[in-house]
Amino acid sequence: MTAVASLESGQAPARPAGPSAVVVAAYVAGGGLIMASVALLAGFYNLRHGSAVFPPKEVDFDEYLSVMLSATLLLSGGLAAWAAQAATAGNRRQAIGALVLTGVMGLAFLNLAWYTGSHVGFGPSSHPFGAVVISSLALTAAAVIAGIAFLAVALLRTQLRAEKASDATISAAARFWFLIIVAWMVSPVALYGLMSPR
Amino acid sequence: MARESLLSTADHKRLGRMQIVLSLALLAVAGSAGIFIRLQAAGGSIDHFDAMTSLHDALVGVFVVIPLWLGIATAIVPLQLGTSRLAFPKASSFALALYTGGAALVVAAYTKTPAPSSGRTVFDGVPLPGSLAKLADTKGADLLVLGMILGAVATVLMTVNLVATISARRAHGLTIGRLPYFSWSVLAAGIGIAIATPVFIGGLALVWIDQHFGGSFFTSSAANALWTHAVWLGGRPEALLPAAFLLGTGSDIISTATGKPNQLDVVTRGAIGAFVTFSFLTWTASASDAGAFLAPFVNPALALPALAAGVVVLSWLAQLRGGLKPVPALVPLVLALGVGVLGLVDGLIALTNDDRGAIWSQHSLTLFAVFLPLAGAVAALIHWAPKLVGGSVPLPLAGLSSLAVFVGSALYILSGALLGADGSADYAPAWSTADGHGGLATLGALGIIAAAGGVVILAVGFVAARAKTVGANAYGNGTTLEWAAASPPVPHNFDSVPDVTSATPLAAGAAS
Repeated sequence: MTAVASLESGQAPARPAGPSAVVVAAYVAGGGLIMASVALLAGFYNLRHGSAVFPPKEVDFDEYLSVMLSATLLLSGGLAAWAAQAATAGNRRQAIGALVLTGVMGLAFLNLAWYTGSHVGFGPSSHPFGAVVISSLALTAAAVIAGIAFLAVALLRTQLRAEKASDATISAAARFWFLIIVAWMVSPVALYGLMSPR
Repeated sequence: MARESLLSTADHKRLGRMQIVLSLALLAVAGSAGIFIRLQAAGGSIDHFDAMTSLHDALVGVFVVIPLWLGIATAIVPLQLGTSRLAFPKASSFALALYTGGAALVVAAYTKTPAPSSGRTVFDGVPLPGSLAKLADTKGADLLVLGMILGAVATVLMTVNLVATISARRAHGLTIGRLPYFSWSVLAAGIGIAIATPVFIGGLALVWIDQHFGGSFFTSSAANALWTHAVWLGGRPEALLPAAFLLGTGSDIISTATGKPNQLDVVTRGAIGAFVTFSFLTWTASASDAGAFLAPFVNPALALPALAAGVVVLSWLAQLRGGLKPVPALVPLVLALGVGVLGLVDGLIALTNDDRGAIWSQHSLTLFAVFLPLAGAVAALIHWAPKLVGGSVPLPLAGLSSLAVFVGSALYILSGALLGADGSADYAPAWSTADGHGGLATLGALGIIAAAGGVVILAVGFVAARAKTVGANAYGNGTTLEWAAASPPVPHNFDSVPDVTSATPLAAGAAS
């Protein structure tokens, strides 16, 4: 008997009804991610406010890359919504397909983020602007990696255990993915691309 | 059932107790550093001031205050919810391992030469963890930063688990609006901690980037201002949020003492929620004024959470009109409130003295962020001792331990107030023994020693409590579900859970 199962033994009450714990955990973890992104944004705007020249003269940051990163994540959000919808409708096959496609879009984002980081012409050591931009990219990339891991767990639970497609894990993974997108959209890099004066 | 090892246990009560003991042990280390700083200042020699301050701030800020309350919550919240376990039992077990490892790394950092000495933190030009960036790239600095990252990640894991447990594992009928006040405060403050801590973790990660990948985040004046504004998005709420646990605990203690439903239930819950919300708004004080960070911690925005806390206390007084039955935690609760009043008075003095406010507000911050949560935790531990060790803490020991913490807080704040009144605008390195500041530094050290004595007395009280077993409803007036569990609870907590049709399912007249 496992340690957890032993606590459920005896005449303990059955698991109570209520929202899924994994969904709540996804929301709270996503909230923390958004907060970290907002903190970087606050610093970014303060940096802009306090700098005579912003961004630094030598920076030629093509906002096209930032817009493409945003578009990639937004598209993946549609796929995550599809997965959640299919799971709710009990369509296991569609849910699995949508999960896989969401993960593929996540990998595409990581690829583009890596390309962006290696082609912007500056790094975290170049200047504070560079430190914020690279930190923002790294934060979202780490979150996307966590999101892909979450999607993989949902996929494995659905596929290997043959659980019904409405498994709460799929719903939680999709919601966490939405929060990653929100965190990215309020990040300095995404807003720089959308609001650049150029 | 075979007894599980400490590392593999999924029993929230054991995990909670271990967390409490570890937090208090680290408090002893941090307190020793605080005493050391003041005794050195009293002697006019500040050789190790920076290193000791860094050790003190790293432990208190990450490993003591919030983890102590999370330990209490881990042990008590599932009992209040009428459930047998946490939502993710293994996650808390893993978090405890991370926490222990992180604390070990931080302490180990100070076995290296040179010891990491980032200097002042709260009042540094670049606050913690930014102040760590100026450390030389040494093994000690690496261990300190890595240890703090592990501790902060463990904090997030623990709070997410508690929030998920409260959201998803409540007994039938126990709606969010019927949660016991402590669980309510854990839900509200837990969400706050879970979303504020990642900001701090992000800062530590940036320090790591600066030190190992040639980053420049913390090395330019513009970046300093950047981080100054960003860090308080996490730092200011985390300094205040432990007081929310105290508000929840106090509300439960008052409910247990009266044994009746709270007529101002919505007001009490609303005010606790408002306190948590307002603790985030205090960040705006530094966000709106680039220079505000270096100004005193205490600022007008602090009036908002103070107001919310005042409403909670007024709701307690309103309940007392109907009479009460004395419970051991009442005196500790009153003395904890006394600590809060001391901090408010000191904070008001700081607000009205711009030129010498720093020393006052520094002491006020420590009172709010360390002494007040500690006094509150003493009250909580005494109140729920029957669920933690199976018996109640004898009244004299309960009163004495909380009195010692109160006296220690008073001595500590008095030393700061007198230093400020005597013209000392800076911290220990600037104190002059010729001006009699050495004696005041000793007074501050005595305050810390007195508070530590209170914790030792409490430990003696817990030893005595093990021999003084009590029934499930230890004080006879408990109205929430934890008082339906045996003292100490069985491994699965409940053989049967009473029907819940109100916020006080065990109150006289309630369905059972």
